[in-house]
Amino acid sequence: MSVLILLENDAARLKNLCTGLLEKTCSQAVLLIDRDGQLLTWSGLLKDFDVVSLASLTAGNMAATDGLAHLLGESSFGSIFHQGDRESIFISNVGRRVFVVVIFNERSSIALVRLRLDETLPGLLEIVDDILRKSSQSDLSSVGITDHEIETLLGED
Amino acid sequence: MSFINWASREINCKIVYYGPGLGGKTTNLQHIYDNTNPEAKGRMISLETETERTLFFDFLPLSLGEIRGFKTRFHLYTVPGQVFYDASRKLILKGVDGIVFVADSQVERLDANLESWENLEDNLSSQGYDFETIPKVIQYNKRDVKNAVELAYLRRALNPNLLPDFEAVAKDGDGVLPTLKSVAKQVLIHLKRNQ
Ligand SMILES: Nc1nc2c(ncn2[C@@H]2O[C@H](COP(=O)(O)OP(=O)(O)OP(=O)(O)O)[C@@H](O)[C@H]2O)c(=O)[nH]1
Ligand SMILES: [Mg+2]
Repeated sequence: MSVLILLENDAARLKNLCTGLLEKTCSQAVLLIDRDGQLLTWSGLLKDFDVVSLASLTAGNMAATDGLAHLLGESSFGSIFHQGDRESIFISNVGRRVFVVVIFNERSSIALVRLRLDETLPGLLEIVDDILRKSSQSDLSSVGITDHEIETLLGED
Repeated sequence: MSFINWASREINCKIVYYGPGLGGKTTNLQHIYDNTNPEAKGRMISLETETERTLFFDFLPLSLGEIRGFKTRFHLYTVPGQVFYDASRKLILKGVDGIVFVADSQVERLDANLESWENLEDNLSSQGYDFETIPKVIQYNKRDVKNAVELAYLRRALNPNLLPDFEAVAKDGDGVLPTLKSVAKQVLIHLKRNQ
């Protein structure tokens, strides 16, 4: 299976778009997460918020939702909305490998989030596609890890 | 699928604990969680039934140290072992980099072990994985039970290809960390070779 590689400047480009979206939607947080639950980047959020758990749970949520879509003969539902008393979550596909999560409260609204996301999506998609293309061409050798270093880290059998 | 993040200097990999229901997959993760430094781990999430059977997955993010200035981070998942949760198992397997197969040594679970192994092969193959080459280790768990199948017999039945394998008593923690280290090591070596 292939590897996903996020270079520093691509991470910065993604983060910029996330921050822009955060501001335009008056939301608490915007996160970009890969389908396997790996967090690519995020913007906003409160101190000590557990982004790793959030990434894993939303990825599970998206995977289960896709499973439901397939049962009904849809390829995907595109987005999910969970509404809470104070906090709400909107999740939307960014292509097939990545999704974006927007967490917002009463300072924002689902309509505003959808609107601004529609505006931001093409830009996000372009960068994500670019990252996927580069990932398929580059490799771990740029990190330069040796077998010996792996042995040292994890010990002999 | 492994994820190399140059911005945060992290190598992230996904490991899935697979095996028959009640074999001890969740117990493995719980032991790892209970016996690692707070800085090395995140929260453990268990999506389970009222009776503590895994319903969707358990999840534990864990760091195993640095190589070349990169943190190695492993996302450990367990699947639900009960036969009828197959749709969920398929979802959890997506993007997996390495497998720990937790077998149950109790004699009455021999068939369940074999069925689960076949189910793993089916589910990986249907997602386009090459079952032979994906990193795997086998753990023979519950070695403490009175009716445990002889090790040599279990090996012949479950491990004809001589994958790395370990005896374990997960409820006491025996064999849990060696199993984890072995799969983590294989995953990193595989990642490196495959490039
Ligand atoms: N005797 C004995 N019992 C064990 C051992 N490891 C786990 N158990 C017990 O086996 C039972 C099931 O363990 P779990 O870890 O929940 O099993 P699981 O594989 O996650 O089961 P599912 O979630 O249904 O797939 C629990 O009661 C554990 O305490 C062991 O090494 N020896
Ligand atoms: Mg379990």
